[in-house]
Amino acid sequence: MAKPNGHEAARMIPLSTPVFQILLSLNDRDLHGYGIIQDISARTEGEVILSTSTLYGAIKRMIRDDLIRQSDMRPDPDLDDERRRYYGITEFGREVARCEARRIHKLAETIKKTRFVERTS
Amino acid sequence: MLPSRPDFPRPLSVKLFAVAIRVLLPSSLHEEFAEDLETTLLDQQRAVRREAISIRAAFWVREIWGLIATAFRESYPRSLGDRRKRRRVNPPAPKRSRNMISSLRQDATYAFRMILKTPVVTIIAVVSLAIGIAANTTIFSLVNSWLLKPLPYPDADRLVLVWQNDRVESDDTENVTVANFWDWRAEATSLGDWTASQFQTMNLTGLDRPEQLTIARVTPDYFRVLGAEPMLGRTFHIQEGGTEDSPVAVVSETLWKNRFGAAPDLIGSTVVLDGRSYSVVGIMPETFDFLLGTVGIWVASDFGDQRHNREDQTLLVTARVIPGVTVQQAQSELTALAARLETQHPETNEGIGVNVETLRDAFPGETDTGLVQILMAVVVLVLLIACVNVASLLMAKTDARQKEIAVRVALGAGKGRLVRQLLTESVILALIAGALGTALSVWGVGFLNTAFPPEIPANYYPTIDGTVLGFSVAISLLAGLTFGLTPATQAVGGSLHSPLVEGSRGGTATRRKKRIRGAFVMAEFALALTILVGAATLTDLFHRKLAIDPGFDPDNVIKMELTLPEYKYTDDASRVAFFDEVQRRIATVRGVRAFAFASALPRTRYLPLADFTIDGLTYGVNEQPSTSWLTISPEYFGRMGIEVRAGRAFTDTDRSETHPVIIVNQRMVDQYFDGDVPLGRRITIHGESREVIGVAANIAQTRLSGLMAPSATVYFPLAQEPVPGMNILLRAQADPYQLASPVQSVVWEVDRDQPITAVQTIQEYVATQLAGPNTMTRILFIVGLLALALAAIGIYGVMAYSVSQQTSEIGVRMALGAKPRQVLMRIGRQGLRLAGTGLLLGVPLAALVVNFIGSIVTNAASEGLEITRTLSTCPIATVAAILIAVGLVACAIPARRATKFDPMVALQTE
Repeated sequence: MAKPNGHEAARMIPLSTPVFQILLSLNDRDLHGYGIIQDISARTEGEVILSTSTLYGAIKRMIRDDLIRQSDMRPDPDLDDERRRYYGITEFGREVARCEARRIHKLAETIKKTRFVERTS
Repeated sequence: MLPSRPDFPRPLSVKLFAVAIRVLLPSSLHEEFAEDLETTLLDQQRAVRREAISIRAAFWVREIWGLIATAFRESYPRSLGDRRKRRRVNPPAPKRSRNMISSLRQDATYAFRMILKTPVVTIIAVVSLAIGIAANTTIFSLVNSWLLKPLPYPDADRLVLVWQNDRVESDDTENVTVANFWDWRAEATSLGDWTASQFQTMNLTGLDRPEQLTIARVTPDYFRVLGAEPMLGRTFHIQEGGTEDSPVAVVSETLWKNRFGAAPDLIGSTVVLDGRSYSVVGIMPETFDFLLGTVGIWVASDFGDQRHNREDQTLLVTARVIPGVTVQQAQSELTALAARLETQHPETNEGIGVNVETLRDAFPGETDTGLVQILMAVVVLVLLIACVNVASLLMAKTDARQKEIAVRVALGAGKGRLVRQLLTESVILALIAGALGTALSVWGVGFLNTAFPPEIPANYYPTIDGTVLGFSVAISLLAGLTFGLTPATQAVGGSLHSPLVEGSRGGTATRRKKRIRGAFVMAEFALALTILVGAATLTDLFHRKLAIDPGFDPDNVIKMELTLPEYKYTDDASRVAFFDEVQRRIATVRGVRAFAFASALPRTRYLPLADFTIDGLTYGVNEQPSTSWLTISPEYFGRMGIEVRAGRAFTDTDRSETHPVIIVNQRMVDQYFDGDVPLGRRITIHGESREVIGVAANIAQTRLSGLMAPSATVYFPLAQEPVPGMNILLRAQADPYQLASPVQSVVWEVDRDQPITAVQTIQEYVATQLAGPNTMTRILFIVGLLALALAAIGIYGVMAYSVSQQTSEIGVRMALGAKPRQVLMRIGRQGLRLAGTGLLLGVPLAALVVNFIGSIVTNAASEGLEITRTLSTCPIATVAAILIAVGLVACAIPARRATKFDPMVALQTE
């Protein structure tokens, strides 16, 4: 597989909410499925809660698209459950997340300039 | 990768969801992530399982929604862009590995379109089915709450009731004496957790007004054994209940709220019951009840005052079978114990056996269980009729779609696929009907609840819970498959190409279809006959109970109950003095037109029995007859409008000091005096020889009057037999309720602490006494009407359709010179043949139902009730006549229309 480049990453955005949130959760550590759901829920203060099916639908697509990979990481054996798998972000995934973050940031700037939020709220 | 079984238990919900995932998600997803996905699901389920129901519900809604959305997303890439992205790494999955969701979605969409295309058929089908499903769900809620739902006590399946039975007199179960209870409890090894309760009426005083309550004296471990936790305070300590100075009590939440304003400081204070103070230690929540749902206060007692009493059967005894021991083994052990007590205490225990009964067997009794089973069977038959209706409707519809189906086959659709398509339509119809039916059953269950007397514990009230909903969904699916299968297989059976051949009559019924349709008509007749005969027999039975001439005049009469506490009114003289004084004062209350006292009202649930002997006759041991009895004031017969047929009524001169007299009812005369008026004869009853001075007409004295023969009854004058519990009956000029409060004040002038309960007009009282049978009659009447209506619609539909199929044949006949009358006769004969065969098939079924009803009623009879009439009036002939009339009308209307057709037009009809 060719090394993904910035152009490839730009083609992936915009990302769906679950995909972007999963990338954010995996940015600094590997997590298992339940960990991802909990992390997203906590970070968004309950605004985004993924269902199990949505999570794994997204995980499947993200692994296929090389955004994340299955991680070999295993925690302390006492806490471990061998049925659980851990997932980690790939370099390409990080690049895509950055692209998306920049897009959203730009979007936010635009919104700020048009003072759209202030006017409607 | 084969997923290995998780090594910790998964709850049912997670298991079911895992199955749903396997079915709905593409194999590429669930195969790869199965274990991980389930673990994550389980983690989440564990995190929410102790949360409030709303949070759990939100979790499952989210999961189900997510699953459906993911299933669609995985099957249908949303945009070209999405597909393009996919191709970047992987080629698209080969078509074969796609999940079944895509074809399912296609089927469903198509089914909806077809269902909406024929709105009339859809509405008739949905309404028919919804009625059937509503009836089933409603009656199932009763089955569920009575027979299926676990009882709300720990290890409830090991809880038993232990009764005494008197082998000499009858095998009836009876309450247990205190001494026997303690002996059994001390010695039995197969039973543990023994507890006993004794129900009494006591007067609660010391508040703004006195109140009569049902009190349960219970052994101190009572609440522990039943696993009941107080909502406030505590339950009894094991050492309580002796003869301590300040006995303890637990108050029910209802009483605490109604009489103590829900004051939290009630705990630690005292309540006064029959003049004795009890300190309140706890409040029991409303949700707790055990066998008798109306207890106001529980007081701890070891029944020490009756420790050696082997005569008064007062205790309701509960115990738990030791794990590993069967109820039969416990029964044998206790039988042996009882036999030993017989030899030790022959004077009291001779002939006393023991009966161990599981809690589940104790309530509902056999009769009620039987009735519920009949109802369930009847409504299942109603649903079957609805299914037959819908099946025949759909068959007609599929006939009309023969060409469409042939086209689809020609274009490459497999037969299996077509059947699935048609079944999808049926199932969707059934599910819509199921939703509507379940909504209707909410009303039905509410109606059922109005029929329950308050003493039935809340646990037995029917509700719509998960089990009932599950049942509703299951019968909807089953109904969909039942009525969908025949038309679906019939549609694709036979040659599928012939309809496409030019000029072929795509809609002409083949011989096979005709046979199926004939079978439908016969089934409708057979089922309708069975249901209607069953419903009519039962309705007739209940109706007889209600329709009987009560023998008294209930207009503008109000009743109130007084129960004089025995600690205060210790002898007859004090009670006579009290009632005399109250009578004297009531006479002065304005608006009272007349009043009387009676210890029992007509249509009562319970009438005491007493043994008696007719003076001058000799009786063998245990051969004494017994009679119902009640105490009345002299005015009773006149005020209630009960006829005195011979002799005289009581007068004010029948006093305790004058010679003892009684009045008997007509039944007593017929049963024990061969119809000779026994004026002047003497009867020994309640230990005294008394002269018969009058004969009163029979009245509907017990709740079951009408169904059962009237019982022999003896009336005592109030002054000679002043029982503590009396009813005051007041007849008013107008609104009798206006008398309630002045009469209460008059009673309180005589005794400030005397409570008055159950203030009601006689009509209201009778209505509550008869609520159960009344509702049963109404339910059966409604079910019967539904069955008749559904059957009529179905019979008409099938008949009309099959006549319309013969339009061209009729045309030929008329063109060849047949008269309309001949055509009508021919079609009528066809219809009659089907109806006749159906009815003949229905007769054995109907007989079976009648037989079953008979066995239940006989069962009731063996419980000591005498059945007045047999089931000989069984209305098979009437019902059959009605159904034949329906069938003839159903033939005649379309046949007449067919004969009106111009033969040429009829011939051209396809």
